[in-house]
Amino acid sequence: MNEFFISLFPNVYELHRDLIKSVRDTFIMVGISGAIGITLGMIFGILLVSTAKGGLYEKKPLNSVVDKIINTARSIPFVILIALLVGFTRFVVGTSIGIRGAIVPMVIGIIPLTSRMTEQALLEVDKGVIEAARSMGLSRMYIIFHVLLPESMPSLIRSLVTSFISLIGLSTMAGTVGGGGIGNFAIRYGYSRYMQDITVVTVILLLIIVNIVQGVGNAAAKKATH
Amino acid sequence: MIELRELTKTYKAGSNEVKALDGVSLTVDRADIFGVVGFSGAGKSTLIRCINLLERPDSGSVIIGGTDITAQTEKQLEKTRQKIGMIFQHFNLMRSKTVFENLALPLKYQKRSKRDIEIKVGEILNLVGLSDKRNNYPSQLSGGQKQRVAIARALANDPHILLSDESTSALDPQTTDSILELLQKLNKLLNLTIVIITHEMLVVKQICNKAAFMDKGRVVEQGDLFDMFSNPRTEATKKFTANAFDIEEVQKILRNIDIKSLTGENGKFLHLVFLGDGANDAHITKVARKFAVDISIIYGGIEIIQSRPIGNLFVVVQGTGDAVNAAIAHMRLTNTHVSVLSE
Repeated sequence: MNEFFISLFPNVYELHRDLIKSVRDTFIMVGISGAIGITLGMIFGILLVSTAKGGLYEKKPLNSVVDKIINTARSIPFVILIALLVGFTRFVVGTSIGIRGAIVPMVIGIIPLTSRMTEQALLEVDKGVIEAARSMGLSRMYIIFHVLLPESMPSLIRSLVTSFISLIGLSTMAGTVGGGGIGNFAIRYGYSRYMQDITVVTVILLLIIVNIVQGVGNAAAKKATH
Repeated sequence: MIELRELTKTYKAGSNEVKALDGVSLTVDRADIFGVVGFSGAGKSTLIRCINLLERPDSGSVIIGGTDITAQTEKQLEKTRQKIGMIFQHFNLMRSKTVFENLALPLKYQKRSKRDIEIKVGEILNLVGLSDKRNNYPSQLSGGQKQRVAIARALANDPHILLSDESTSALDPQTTDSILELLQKLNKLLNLTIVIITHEMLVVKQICNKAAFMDKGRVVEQGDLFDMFSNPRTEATKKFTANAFDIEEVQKILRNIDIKSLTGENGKFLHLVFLGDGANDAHITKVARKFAVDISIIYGGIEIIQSRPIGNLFVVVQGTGDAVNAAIAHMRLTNTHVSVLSE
């Protein structure tokens, strides 16, 4: 079995230490940029919903500014965003390459998607429930955290999953421009050195990771639905 | 208890302006069950939302227990709202929380102790008769049960006032009855002032002691319910009360039959409304005997409003011209409203 595997994926066997490191790097990049970027994205999503017309903190000028910024950011392709942010990235983390260099554009890149998904999830909450909460004399902040967020939990979890899966995609793109991780590994060996087996294995690995994330997310969303 | 003064509110729908409230003034006394009725679009929902300022009127004042709350800050307003419960047509319970958690929410906000919350929730659940459902999610309850939970939630802060926005409109007649009974019980038990918005005359008829009729953003008539039913003064109220008495239905049917064939040469077709004790008297036979006329009843019904009867009769009176006129004149003198539908 072992020999069969080696004959089928010779380069993978040869470079398996590098491969394991690249998977670990991907987890680090997705984990850190996810923790920061998705949190910020959710905050923007909440801001969008609560400042919109009829929202808890209706403020139309602020709403349209945030809305436009998000739309603009969304329309920039990620590879170009990385290039655009080089100076900023260096300023923030001291380098524009490697894992650290990838995290900054990944954070910026995931915010627009997460905020839109959060916005959608929160808009699904019945306006009447918010109205009932207001009629009880709850403060607006309290309503956001104890009514709005819990009520949209299943949808929020689903949007969280989509955000994480997108981040895995972004991490491989960051890899192509020297970010490290699975993407970098696939490009460096699979693409540049024609090691087909490396490419195949990275694809399989990504498939497994994405499916695990999706599976866990679906189970959590189901559990949160009553 | 509640005093609304000259409320106005205009909505902009594109280039159109809709006057939802056009100078509405109302007074609701302590422990009233006050009904606000009107056709849809009359401004009822806007009106009830102005009482706890979920909607801000463009002008006018909302005085609750002597305080003008339109001048209050957001923080003060929270305190005011805690003493004004509200229930809704679609219940508006949180799907993500159990019955217990739904009821605990307003109490948790006030940082009441766990023990306190346990006790209070137990109490209000018992009051609405749903103690066995405390760990269910709203999706596992029927419409009537959901509305009971919503009522319990509205009572969590021991409010003085309960606002009901079409709270029975999504329920079947039987469940509606049981919810109305519950509201009536709470009114007596807790001395709760209740304001009910509804388009169902039946609801008002069943539990309100006072009512206001709204039409096109204005209150066209308000006061004691019995007076309004027995003697509606405006077209809108007439239409509404007629609806409640099934009179509209009767009139529709009568339109299709040849009245002349019923009344004969000198006969008249009358709609009689008897009030209070008059509704019990053997009125018809007395009149028939006294004026030597024949009276045949086409349709009749008695409604009980605030435990006083109001009788509605459609009759044909036949006899000599003078006798019929004298009979009508006599009936008008004896606490009976007579309208001549056809000569």
